[in-house]
Parts: sequence; structure tokens; C-alpha cells
Amino acid sequence: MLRRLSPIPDVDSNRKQRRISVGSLGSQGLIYAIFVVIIGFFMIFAPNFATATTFADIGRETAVTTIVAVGMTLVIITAEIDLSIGSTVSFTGLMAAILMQSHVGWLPASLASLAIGALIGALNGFVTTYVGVPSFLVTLGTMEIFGGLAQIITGSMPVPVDSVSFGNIFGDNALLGIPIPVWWTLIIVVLGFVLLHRSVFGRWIYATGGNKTAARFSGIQVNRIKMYCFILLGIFGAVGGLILDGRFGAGDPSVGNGMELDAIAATILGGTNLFGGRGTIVGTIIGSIFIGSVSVGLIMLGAGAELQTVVKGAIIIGAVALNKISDKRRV
Amino acid sequence: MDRNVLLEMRGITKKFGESNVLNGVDFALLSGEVHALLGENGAGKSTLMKILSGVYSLDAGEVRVNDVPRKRFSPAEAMQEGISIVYQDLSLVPELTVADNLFLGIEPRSWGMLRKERIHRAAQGMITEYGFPLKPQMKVGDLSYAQQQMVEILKALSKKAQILVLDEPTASLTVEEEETLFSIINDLRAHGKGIIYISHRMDEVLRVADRITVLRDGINQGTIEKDRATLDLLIQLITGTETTSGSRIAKHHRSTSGIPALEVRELSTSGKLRQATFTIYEGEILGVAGLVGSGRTTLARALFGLERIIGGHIRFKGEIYKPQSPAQAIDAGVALIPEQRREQGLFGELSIENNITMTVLDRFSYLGNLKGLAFVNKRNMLRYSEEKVADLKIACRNVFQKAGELSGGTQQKVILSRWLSKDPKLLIMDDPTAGVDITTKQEIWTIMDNIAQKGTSILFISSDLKELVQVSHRIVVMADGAIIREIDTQIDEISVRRAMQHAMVQ
Repeated sequence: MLRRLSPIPDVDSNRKQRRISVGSLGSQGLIYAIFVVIIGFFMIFAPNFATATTFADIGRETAVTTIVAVGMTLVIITAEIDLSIGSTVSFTGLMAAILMQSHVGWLPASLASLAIGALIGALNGFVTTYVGVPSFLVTLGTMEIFGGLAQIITGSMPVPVDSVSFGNIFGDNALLGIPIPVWWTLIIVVLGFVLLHRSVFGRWIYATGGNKTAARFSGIQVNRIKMYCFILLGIFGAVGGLILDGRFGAGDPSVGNGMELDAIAATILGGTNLFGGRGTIVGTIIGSIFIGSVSVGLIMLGAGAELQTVVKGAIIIGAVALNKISDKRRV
Repeated sequence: MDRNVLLEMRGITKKFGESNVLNGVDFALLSGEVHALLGENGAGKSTLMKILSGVYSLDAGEVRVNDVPRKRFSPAEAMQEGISIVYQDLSLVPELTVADNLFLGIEPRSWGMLRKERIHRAAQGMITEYGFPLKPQMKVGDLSYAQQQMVEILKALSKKAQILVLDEPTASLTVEEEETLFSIINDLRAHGKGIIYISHRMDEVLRVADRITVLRDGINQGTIEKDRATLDLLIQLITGTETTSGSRIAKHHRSTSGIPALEVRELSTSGKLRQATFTIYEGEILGVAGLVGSGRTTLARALFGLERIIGGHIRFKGEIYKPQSPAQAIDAGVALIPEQRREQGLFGELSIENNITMTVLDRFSYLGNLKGLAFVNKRNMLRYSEEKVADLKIACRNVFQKAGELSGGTQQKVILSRWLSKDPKLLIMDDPTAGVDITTKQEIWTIMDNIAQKGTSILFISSDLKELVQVSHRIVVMADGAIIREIDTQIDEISVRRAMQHAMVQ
């Protein structure tokens, strides 16, 4: 019966379906609605929230989280997780600062930092896939290791960065009116989007997380795909570390603490399935901006850091829970 | 011993939607009797047992247990009546001991504290009564499958079961373990229990059963006393007497090309395969018959690089072929439609388009064959998958529909389409039509026939002997990890079935 109706799908329904499939906005509608309501709340109650400065602030605040969250999205779609990324951000940023302090040029120092990020990612990926330790445990371990190493190396003190060129590339200045960290975010976001949504590699990421066995049976090197995702996340983490170096003018051994959780929260708020196979870059960006807006809005309302954490936590649970409930209703 | 009627099922009728799954089935069980239930997959055996165990209610008929008509259908009710089913996949807690498992949920306790010594003593008492080789303090996870099965049987007995249903009890047992099971069954019989014995293996049914009932298409084909039962009679009842001349597709009896495509010689794997030797010719459909566990899936996996090969060799298109991963097998021109469609074949969360193109993504890239980093030309990919959907008549809203939402048969066509895109030289199909509706089945047969005529060789594994006989040019029969018979002249269901049964008698 059904077959007779439309063996070849007509163009119109394709378009409609595609719009949904790209952003996966369909099932995320409710979270975005909550987002809009909360922004509206701040606009009314926080003076000066609806200004260009505020948006630049939000962009700057969320830059590193967003960069890390893009990588986290790739990893989570393959049905893995990386808890070590906060420590990776601290450690790679710190290494760059130390190298520059020992008179290594800013470029080699930055490249070395990216390489270290890639190595940490490779270590996570290797132990997870080829040794078979669950990534939750592996990255819990590397989180402790690299977080601890960062403290040991510096005696828990920040390492100043005084290279002017470095400050120009990663610092807090603006280019064409947009803060430099936001430019970096844009680069990583576009890169992540093209990789995930336009490349063959992206299809393999979805296949790996969606059904590992079927992916293997289709000739996809599942372990390698996961490795690459961990490595990319590690590199993105290092980019984040460099940006924070530039922003604060120093490498801080605890600057990345807790960032892994913000990145995971942004990813999940953006509709990525914690168990893999589903998720989008656009969703993650929105999730990240969501969290960033809440922080900035609360600051403007005069809330302290402690209250911010509480509200953030409540919003994460509330938004995802509401989405689940409405999902169930639809089915 | 006095034999009383434990169970009487009369005129049992059960409908699912339009189709009658059971149609006026009569079945009775005496105390101290082993009553075997035989029939193909889908004949209605498990539906009948689910009615007995209270999972399903019935549309017509009557169930009387100990001469009391049953009014309410629920699993709890059935358990109270003393009915217990021992399934193939046992339901024990591996981390607990034998005694703990026996009294799980009915632990004797005083003042809220567990009475360990009482559990131990009670368990020991039961083990001694039936003489099982078990100790109460053994951890269930450390036991062999056969011992676990005994625990499961004891568990049923501890709930005062009078009627025991054994569902394919020998499926995972070794030969010696089978002997132990048969002596346990004899013991239970001597204790006056009634046993319903479900099995595919006719030799063992002939051995242990007092009476045998055969179901086909939801109808009782006859209940036979042990003395009257023969292998041939049972086969006849199970398959029906119809001849196989009425083929649904015209089989091409031209002899195949005669050019060997795949030559397998004494192939053994670390798992189950023992010295399998056979040849598939170009454009030939070679059927593989065998029960679940005969090694047929291991063979498929070995040819696709999923098993460790420890002996023998394979030549594929004249060259030595020793695949170590699916990726290598695919590169050599081999494709596998796996046995478990949802678990091993389908990307349920992804669109039909993505599912179809997963193995040929490099064809749609802007930058040629750059492997992973190539960018997908979405327009070409869309056009391609829409063509495939039309070609294979894949019923869907559009190619962006999630594959997980489709019906079983349609999902299978999506997977088939993925592999046909690769244009394989050897297509391995592991029970591809299981759970697929008849229309789709016929479409799949036609596709197989078409690609075989174009020169693709097909290794076709199937549990359904009727289709195997219809579609294959030749058939090999597998049992216990080996190829025991090759049938190329007289391909009919009866000779294949007889070969399978005789394999087990030996």
C-alpha cells in the first residue's frame, strides 16, 4: 500500500525534512524556547543586557567552552566521553607559557602546545579503544594526571606570558569589532561543522556512535574514528588553553577546572545524545551560548559565583528533563 | 503409577490481527509423561506455550489444569497452578550461589534477617532428592550451562511445579550433558511430573518422548504414541505432504558458469568451524542448511574477516584470500548481510540515505578518493539514494526517514541496497528473510536471482528449508561446525531435512 503511494519521494517533502535533519531543531524546539524565555527575562530585569557589549561579553565568556564543546560533540556522538579536557586546557596552556618563558618563540610554543593536546587525546583514545578501558574511567584518570602535573610543575603558581605577538594572536583585542577569541571560536565551529556535517569522516562518526557493530560490518575502522575524535578534541582543548593564556596574560594551572562539565552540558543541551549516534554542531553552539548567557545575565543581576552555579545546574536538568517529557508525549 | 491428566487444552484458538496463529489446537499432558511438541518456526509452538504460561489470553477454547478450568490468564496464576517454563536463555543471577538463586524472592527470614543456614539446608535437600551434581554454595556464574539448567529446573521444582516446559533444552549442551539431562528427565517422570518437551531435533524427541504432537500453521497435525513414531512420519507431518514443484520463482537450472569464484578448503576457525570444504561458482547461489549453532554463522563470519582462521585456506577469484577484518573483506569484493538486522546491519538513528550510501561515500566526494576527508556532494548522494529506493521499491516517506522506523522487511531491503551498491563478487546472506513478510521475501529472491545471473556468487544461509530449496542451485548441509553433505542433484526439502536429522543421530 505504502509503496504505491510514493516510491520516489517528492521534492517538497524532502526540503521540509532536510531542514529538520540538519539542525535537528525538531526535537530541540522546547529547549530553544526555554532559552528565548530566559533571554527575555534578562532583557527585562537586567539593565543593559540587550546591548552589543553584552553580546561581545557572552561571546568572550563562552569562546573557550564553545571550542571545547565542538570537540566534545564529536566524541560524544561516537558514544564516548572525555572528562580530561578541562585538565588538557590547563596543561597545554601552561606548557605554552612555560616554553615562551624559556625564550622559545610564540609560534613553536603554540604548535608544541597543540601537539601536546593531540597527544593527550591520542592517549585517551588509545586506552579507550585498543585497550578497552571505558572512556569515562580513562579520562577520569588523565583528568587527575594532567591536572595534577600542571600544579606540580608550577608549584600552583601562574606563569606570566609577555610575548606581544602571542597577545595579538590569542589575546583579548578586537578585530573588525569582534573579539579575537570569538574569531577563533568561529574557525573551530566552521571546521567542526564541515567535518561532522559535510565530510565522509562525519558520516563515519555518526555510524560509529549509532551502531558500532554495523559500522564495523560496513568496513568502517571504528577504533580509528574514535581515536581521531579524541585527538581533535585534544587539539581544540589546546587552542582553548592558548586563548586563555592570551586573555589572562599568564598560564594558570587551574584555569580549565570544571570546563569539561560545561562542555558536556552545552553538548547535551544542544541535543546530542549522551549515548552516541545523534547530535549537531549548531545545537552545541546554541547550548553553549545558552549557558554563557545565563552566567552573564546573572552577573548583571548581581548574583555571586556560587548562585550562578546553582542556577546553571538547575537549568541544565530542567531543560533536558522538559525535553524528555515532551518527547515522550509526542511518541 | 496412577496416571492422571495434569493438563488439558481444548480447541485453543488465538488470533493476532487477521491471522489465526492457533486454530482449534488440542493438547493434553498426563502426570509422569514427556510430551514433545514439534513444529517449524512460526508453527505456533511458542504461542501455545505463552497461553499455557498465562502471558497470552485465548480467543476460543479451554485450558484445564488438574481438571479445574482456568478463568484468568496471568503468569502469576499459571505459576500457582504449578506450571513452570525453563527457557533457553536462563534467568539466574550469576553472582549468587545455587542456594541463593533457588530461593530468590522467597528467602526464609526471621526478624528481617536472612536465614542462611536454612536456605543452605533446604537447597541441599532438593539437590539430594534429585541427585544433581551441584552444591548449594557453588556460585552460579562458575557453573557450566548444563549445571545452570539444572539449577533452573530445581528452581521450578522449588515452586512446586507439576508441569515443566523445557524449551530447546539441549541447544547449548554437549553430548555427555545431554545424557545427564535425559536421566534427569527420567527422574522427573518417575516423580510424577508432566514435561512438555520442545525441540527441533527429532532423534532426541523420538528418544525421550512418550507422545509427540506436531503443529503446523497453528493446527495440530496429530498426536502420536512413541511406538508409532518414525523419523519419516514426523518429517511428513512437519512439512506437510505437498511437493516442492510449485516454485514461486522460476529457478534457472542452467548449470552455473563452472568457473570457481570461492574455493574453501578444510577451513577451521578458533570458534566452531571444522574443516569446511566447498566451492561456489560464479553466478551460483549456494544454499547452506543447518540448525542454529551448526556453524553456519561462523562460516559467514569467517569469510567476512570476523573469525580467527586457524587451519585450511581460501581462494577467492583464484587468489589466496585470508581476511582479517570486514574492511579487508569488503576491499576484496565480499559483502555480508548479517544475521541480526537491527544489531549488526542497521543504523537505526540515521536516514535511509545515510544507510544506503555508507559503504560508497567516496563516490560522492568532491575531491576524489581522499577517504575520510573527502567532502560529500549532497546532491549526488540524494539522487543516488532516491534511485536505489525506487529500484528496490523501498517503502518509505522519503530518503530522509530514519531507518529505525521502517518495517523489518524494508530495513532488510535498505541493507541489501547498501551492499548491492558495492557490486560485490561474493554476497553472504545470513538468514536474510527471517522475520520478513512474504511479499518482500519474494522481492529479495528475485533480486538474488538477478544479481546471480550477472555473475555474483551468493552464499545463502537460511533456516527456512522451503526457500532454501527454491532459491539455491546447490545446497550444503552443516552440523556441528562441519559440512556434512552436499546436495546438488535432488534438491528437495525432504532430502535436505533428512540429511540434517541423520547428522544428529550419528
